[in-house]
Amino acid sequence: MPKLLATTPMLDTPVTGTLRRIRTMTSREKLFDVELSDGRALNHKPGQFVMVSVYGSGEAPISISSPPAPESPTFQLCVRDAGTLTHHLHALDEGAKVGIRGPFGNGFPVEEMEGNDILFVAGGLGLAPLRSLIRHVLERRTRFGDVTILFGARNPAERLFRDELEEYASDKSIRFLQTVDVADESWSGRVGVITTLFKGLEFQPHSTVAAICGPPVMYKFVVLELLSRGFHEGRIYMSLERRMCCGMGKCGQCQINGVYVCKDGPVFRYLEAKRLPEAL
Amino acid sequence: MRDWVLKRADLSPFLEYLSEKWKLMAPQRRGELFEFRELHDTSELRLDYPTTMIPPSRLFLPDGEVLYRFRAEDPASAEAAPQEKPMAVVGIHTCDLEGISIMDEIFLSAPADRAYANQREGALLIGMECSAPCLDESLCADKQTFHTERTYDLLLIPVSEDHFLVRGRTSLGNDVADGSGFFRPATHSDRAELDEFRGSQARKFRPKFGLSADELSAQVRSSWDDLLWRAQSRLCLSCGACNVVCPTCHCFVTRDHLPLSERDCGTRNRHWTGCQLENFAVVAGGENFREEKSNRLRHRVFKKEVYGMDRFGRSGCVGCGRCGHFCPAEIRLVEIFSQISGKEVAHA
Repeated sequence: MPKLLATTPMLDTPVTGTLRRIRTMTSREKLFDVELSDGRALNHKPGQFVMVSVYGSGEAPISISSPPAPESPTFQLCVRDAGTLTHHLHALDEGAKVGIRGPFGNGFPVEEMEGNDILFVAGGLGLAPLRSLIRHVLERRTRFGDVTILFGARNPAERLFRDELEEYASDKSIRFLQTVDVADESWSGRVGVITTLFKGLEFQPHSTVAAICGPPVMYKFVVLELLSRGFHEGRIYMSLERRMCCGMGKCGQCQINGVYVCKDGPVFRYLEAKRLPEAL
Repeated sequence: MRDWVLKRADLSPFLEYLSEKWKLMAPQRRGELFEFRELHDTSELRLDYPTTMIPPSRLFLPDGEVLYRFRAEDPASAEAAPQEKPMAVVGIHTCDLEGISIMDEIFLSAPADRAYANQREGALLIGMECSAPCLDESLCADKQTFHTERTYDLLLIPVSEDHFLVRGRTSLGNDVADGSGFFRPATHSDRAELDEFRGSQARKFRPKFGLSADELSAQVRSSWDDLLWRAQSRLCLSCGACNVVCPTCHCFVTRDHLPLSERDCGTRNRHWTGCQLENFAVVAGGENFREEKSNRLRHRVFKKEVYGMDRFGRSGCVGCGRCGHFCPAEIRLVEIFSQISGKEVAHA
C-alpha cells in the first residue's frame, strides 16, 4: 500500500534516506539531496525540520532547506560541519544512507502570509531554514506583494547558495540586498552588520510579514529595527534553534520556559517569543 | 473501585504468585539506601522503606535503555528492542504514583514514546499509602500527594499490623486480587479501620505552607527576577542529582553504541540528563541559554510549579522531598518556597 506508506508519519523510528547528491557550498557547509526509501514523501512545510541519524554518531535536528514538494521523496539539507554528527555527515559520500525522522515543528504559516509583502532577514546559516520559505514564496510570486530579502554573512566566502543569491540580485520582481561583516579583495558590495541594510529601505509595516533567522545575537537587533519601523509584534516571525533528541516534546532539551521548540516552534512570532525570557 | 483485605502473612505468597506472570520490582536495601529492583527473594522485600533514592517512575525510563538496533549499512534498519515480561511494581508510595502519572502525561501523549509505552503498558502498579512523612524535606502534605487516585492498579493501605486494606482501582487490579485467592472483599468493619487510619494520617501529614497548588504556582510565577535564585544556587554543584532523583524529571539524550563484538551493528540508547548540568542548554555555535546556575535552578523549579501547572493542570512536583534530601549542597525546595511565599517554616 504505497499510498498509506507515503502518509505514515515517520516520527518514532527513522526511515532510510539516501544521499543522492552532495554539493560543497562553503568551507563549512554542504548541501545534501536526500531521497527517502520506498517512495515515501516528506510532505513538509517551510520552516520544519527533520531528525537525521548518522550511523554511530546519533541523531540531530536539521532544518529543511528545500521548499515543500508534495509527494516528492527528495528534499535538501544544508548542513554546517559543526559537531560530531555533522562532521560525520560531511564525511559521507553520495549513495550513503542516513536515517530520517520527521518532519517536525510547526513551520511558517504560509497561507496566512499570502497577500502580504514579505521581508526575509537571513544571517549566515539562517539562510538554510529560510530558503525553504523563500523558494516557496518565489514559486508563488503572484500570491505575495513586495518581496525583500536581506542577507548578511561574516565574509564573502561564507555566503550560502551563492548562485541563488545572484539570481535574487538580478530578479526585478524582488528587492535583494546583502552585506558582509568583513570584506576581502573579491568583494565590492556592502560591508557591515545586517541591520545596516535597512538604511533607506521603506516598508508598509501593516501589510508586511517579516521572517527572520540567524545567529542568536541577530534577533534582538533586527527585531528592534522592525519595531521602530512600526511592525506589529505579531507580524515578525523567527525560527529558533535548540538541541533536541526526540522532536516530540519529551526529551526536554529544547524547552524555552513553558514551550518546546520542537513542537510549539521552531517558528515563533515575536509576540510570543517576547514572553519567553529564555528565548532570545 | 473495590476494596479488599490482604493479610500481611499472605503478601509473600501473593508476590510469588505474581512472579509467574510479571517481573517483580520491589523496594529492597542497597547499603544505607533503598531501591526498586527485581525481587528474587520475598524476604528481601522492605515495605517499611522510607523512600528510595531513584524513584520508581525511572523503571519505565531506564538509563541506557536500548531504543532500537540498527545495521551499519543502513542506520534506519531499525529493529525495536526485544520485550521482557511486563513489570509488577510493588510498594510504590502515593507521591511516586503521582510521579508516574506525570511521566505518563509526558510520554504517552500523542505522539507516544514507543519504548516508554512498551514498558508501561501491561505493567501492574501496586501502590502503598504512608502512615507518616518519610523525609524532613517532604512536601507531600502540602502537595496532597499522601493520597492519590491515579495510576495504581492496587493500593495497599497499612491499616493494621495484621493486614492491608487494598483498594482496586482498575479491572486489572481487581482481577488480580480476585484471581489470586489471597484477598477477601472488605467489610464495614474493615472500612471503619480505614477511617481510623485516615484520622491518624491527618494528624501526621501537616502542611508546611498551607498554600493551594494554584497559590504556590502564582507565587513562583512572580519570582522570576527575585534574587533568591542567585542566593539559593550559590552552592549548587551543577551535578544534576536533583534531576535524577526527581519522579517527574524526564529529560534524556540519545547516543549510539557500537559494540566492538558486533562490527556491523549498533544500538541507539537513551540516557538520563538533567537541566542542572552546565551544558544542558548549549546550542550549536556555543551559546548557552541558561549559563548561570541561578538560571538553571529557576528553570527546574519553574518547570515543576509553573510550566507543569500550565501543561498538566497540576504541579510537576509531587512533594517527595528527594531533590533536597539528596542534594550535596542542601538546596531545598522547602527553603525556596519559604522565601517565595514569605512563610517561615519551622525546621524539623
